[in-house]
Amino acid sequence: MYKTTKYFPQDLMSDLIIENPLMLNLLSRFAMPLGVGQKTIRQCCEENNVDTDTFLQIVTLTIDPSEENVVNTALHFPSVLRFLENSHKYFAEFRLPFIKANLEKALKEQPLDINKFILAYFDEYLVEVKKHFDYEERKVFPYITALINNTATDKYKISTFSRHHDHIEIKLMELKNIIIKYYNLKTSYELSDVLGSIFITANDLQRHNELENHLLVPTVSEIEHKKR
Amino acid sequence: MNRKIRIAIAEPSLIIRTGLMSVLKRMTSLPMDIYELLELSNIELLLIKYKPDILIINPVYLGNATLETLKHNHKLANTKYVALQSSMLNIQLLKQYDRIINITFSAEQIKEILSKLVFTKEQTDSFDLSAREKDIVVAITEGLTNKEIATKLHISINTVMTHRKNISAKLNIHSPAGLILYAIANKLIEV
Repeated sequence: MYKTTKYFPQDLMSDLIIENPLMLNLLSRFAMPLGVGQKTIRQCCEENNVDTDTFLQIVTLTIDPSEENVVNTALHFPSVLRFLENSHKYFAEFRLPFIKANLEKALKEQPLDINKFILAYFDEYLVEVKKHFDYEERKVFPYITALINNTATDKYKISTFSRHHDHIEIKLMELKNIIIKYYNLKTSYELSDVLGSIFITANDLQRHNELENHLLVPTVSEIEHKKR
Repeated sequence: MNRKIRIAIAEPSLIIRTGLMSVLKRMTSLPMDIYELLELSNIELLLIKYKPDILIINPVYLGNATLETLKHNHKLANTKYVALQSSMLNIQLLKQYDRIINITFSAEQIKEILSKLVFTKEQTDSFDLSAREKDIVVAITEGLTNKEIATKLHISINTVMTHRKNISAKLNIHSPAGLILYAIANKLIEV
């Protein structure tokens, strides 16, 4: 069955980005530069060694991460893995520390002495996220690369990963919900802003997770099946 | 809610009806039973016998006056009414419905609408923790294991686990760290 995406290789990259602000993040995770001018999606991808079909598949899933949006294309795994690793870097090294700093600033204005518990919660979360990402980068991604290159030796299977793959965004969403529901905090520009960032990032993390579950796992397991 | 969600679809266009059904059937994380209403004259019977949680209906199919009558006659059934909109419709007409699904919506949007309709009420019904549940929360924040909590409160481990499950469901908090934040905010523990 062939299902079309909303965007095509011959569409302008600028249209895609301007119509979907989420694509800015996507571009940076594919390490593709701005200044796209009148270039098509295919041109931009080829200039940056990104597989166009794989790029468009991830675009589609970023816009709507439902399982039915997984088109059965042959994924170009180096592109996918580079994208996922860059996403990890974005969350762990940039976005979450940024939220923590802003949370600290926003809570400083508050008269309550519970702030250190909120920050401790956040720190604990950060450790979990890093562990989650680290496992994928140390175990799962190298396994996939080896599988593609026919050099997989150990008995690892992608199903082991999917069984243990937690919803990494839940604890972050819960923090925001707890603050909104139970903490009688004074609203401020800083607080609203950081809560807004948490919303966006939790959704972004969820999308990231769903991409791994709906795209990576089934495609890899199909390859495993063929090779056995 | 553990049972399947009962959904009835009343839409005269075969293409739109079967299209919607196939979109719904792919939502494996939201188990549902789907009933197609093929004859509008059977609608009363459908509401009485099948008792759908959600009736998705084309407002044009039903016409204006009858939705109020239907709602009135089946007040106890708790059925939610969703307008399936495939053309321009009068806003007053649409206002009678609990939600609107436009045929341009994505699967994700439709799923969110449906799950909100069936899940919201149960959550608001039972939001506050019972005294016993509060004891359990405090014990969890002290870092006690299920076994230790059972001994301390003179209850079985199974009961502790049931309480924990209910607490998570009520508060939508799933980690001990989250429960600590909850307990501090609600003054269950001193800091």
